[in-house]
Amino acid sequence: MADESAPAKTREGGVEELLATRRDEILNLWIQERSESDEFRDELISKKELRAQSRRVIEMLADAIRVSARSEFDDPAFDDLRAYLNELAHTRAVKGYTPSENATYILSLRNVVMPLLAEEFEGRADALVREMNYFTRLLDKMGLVMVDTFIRSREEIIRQQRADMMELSTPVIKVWDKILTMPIIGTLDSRRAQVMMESLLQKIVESGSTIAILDITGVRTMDTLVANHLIKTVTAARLMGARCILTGVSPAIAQTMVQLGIDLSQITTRAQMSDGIKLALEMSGRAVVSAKALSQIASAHSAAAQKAAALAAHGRVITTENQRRADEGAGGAAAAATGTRKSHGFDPEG
Amino acid sequence: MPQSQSIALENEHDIAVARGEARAMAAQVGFRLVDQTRLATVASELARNVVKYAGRGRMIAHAVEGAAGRRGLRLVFEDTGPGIPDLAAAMRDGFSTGRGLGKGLPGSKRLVDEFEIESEVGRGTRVTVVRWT
Amino acid sequence: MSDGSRIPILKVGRVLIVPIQVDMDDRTVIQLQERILSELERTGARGVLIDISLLEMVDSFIGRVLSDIAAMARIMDARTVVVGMQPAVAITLVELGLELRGVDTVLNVDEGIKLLRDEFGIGGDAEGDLMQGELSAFASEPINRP
Repeated sequence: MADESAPAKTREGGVEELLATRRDEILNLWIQERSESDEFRDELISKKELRAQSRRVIEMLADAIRVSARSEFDDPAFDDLRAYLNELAHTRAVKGYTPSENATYILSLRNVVMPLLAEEFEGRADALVREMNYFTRLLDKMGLVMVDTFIRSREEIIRQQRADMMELSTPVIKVWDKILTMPIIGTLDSRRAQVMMESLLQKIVESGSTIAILDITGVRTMDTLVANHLIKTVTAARLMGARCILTGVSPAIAQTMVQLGIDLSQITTRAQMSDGIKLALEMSGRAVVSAKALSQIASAHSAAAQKAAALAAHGRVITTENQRRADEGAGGAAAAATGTRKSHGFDPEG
Repeated sequence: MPQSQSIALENEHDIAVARGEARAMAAQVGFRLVDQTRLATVASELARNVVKYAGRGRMIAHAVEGAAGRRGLRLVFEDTGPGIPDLAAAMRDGFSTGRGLGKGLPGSKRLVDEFEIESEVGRGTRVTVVRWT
Repeated sequence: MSDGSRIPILKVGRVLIVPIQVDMDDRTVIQLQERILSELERTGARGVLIDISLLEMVDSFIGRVLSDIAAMARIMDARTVVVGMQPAVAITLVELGLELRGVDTVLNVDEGIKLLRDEFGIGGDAEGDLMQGELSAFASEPINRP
């Protein structure tokens, strides 16, 4: 269908006329070409959906060419088409297509249209070349739009997944009353270290914990930025009134920290997390002793000795806290360990 | 969302107004709580400098957009006060433990991503800071 | 912006409890400092517990005043403890490079009372067993609900 108002160049009817008059044929050929290709992902899209999308692309393309009087892709008449391609690209990104699958989808339209153009323009070599070039230019631009949008969408999705993963991968666990531990596993980058710091400090407030054990056994490498974040975390916790114990520092990381000139004198460290937990218990006024030893110590008080013996029989570790409570009941005097206070000026470990 | 706000800094009460505005705009730009706190604090420090050393000036706060649509907040503190004779020294001094706390510029710098200071003796000072989301 | 006299200073046993609930301008901060010291003199209290769990920002000015309050109270034979610093505030203070020298900071009111009692012997002596009970009861009330 020639556009009467257009200048001479459309008098013969160009590719847009082909797209309009032989639309269904083109559509069928395109769908067939796509579904037979190696790349067709029938688990991601149904033939019906593919058909609907493809039909819209052809129609919008034909319209845009006509309305713009055969201008190039940057003409405003192509805006609707561009918007639709953006939408398609985004949807396909979410579904899990690869970028090349996306571009191929559009570019494969050329395989379908070119033979038909050759038919229409048989015997008119100049016109045929002109139409083929024009159509190719448009399709190339369309393919680029698909790829660009696709990549941006994928980056957005990856960013979101990364944020989700970061939240899940840094659990803060309560190991005892007022004692938290945060086992850090995997690569530590500046961003993750920041998230972890805020998460730990928040948990400290929420749980009222005065001791936090940061275990970096699972951390392979560390750079200055991350080490600084670690120190910042420890200092901020101290300001808030909680003490941090750093455990699991490997020889490699210890070396790195010294080489980076990082001052660890303000931080309490222990080799193993278990040592850290033991220290944390002691710092909060508890000692870990075997039931047998305790019953021996308390042997002068028969009531206490009986209690200890009973507990020892159950294989339970006694802490001085509940032993003191038990003694209070039996009227005995127990050595009450005093706890160390968590003010930031006070450092029992030196 | 207002793109730009200007707060007069003429007395010590305006310091509190300035940091409140900085926090409010930071929230609108979409900063997380800890970043809002950083921006409110740096506004408090720099606004106080204006009132303390120049007597009067102003803070201009505006949302900015960077590369790839990244959003941020720019705060400008300017005055026509005496200016800072030794900028290098001012940027070295932190918070001393004595009576004088200095201008706290190195500390303020650590709270933001971009920090620029221009000052001329007898003409005034302008400090510009930016933080990105 | 409230003026300094709106921030309550409560006395429980031998401890003054100061819950700061609003953003304070410089004048309010100074007024608060003066009020705390004058209450210390008037009541003979031996401890000051400043609750900053609702304070969303501590800058160098407030930080210095907190240090000053602790130092001045010490001269008047009273110990000061600051409780409830918010994580965002702590992070910002570290980045600013402020140390809060001379200020004992603890996590919450419970820890603060424990510190005053166990470390400084305030509110836990013989006559104060009653007061200790008062303090503990007070601490479990939600005076610093965020």
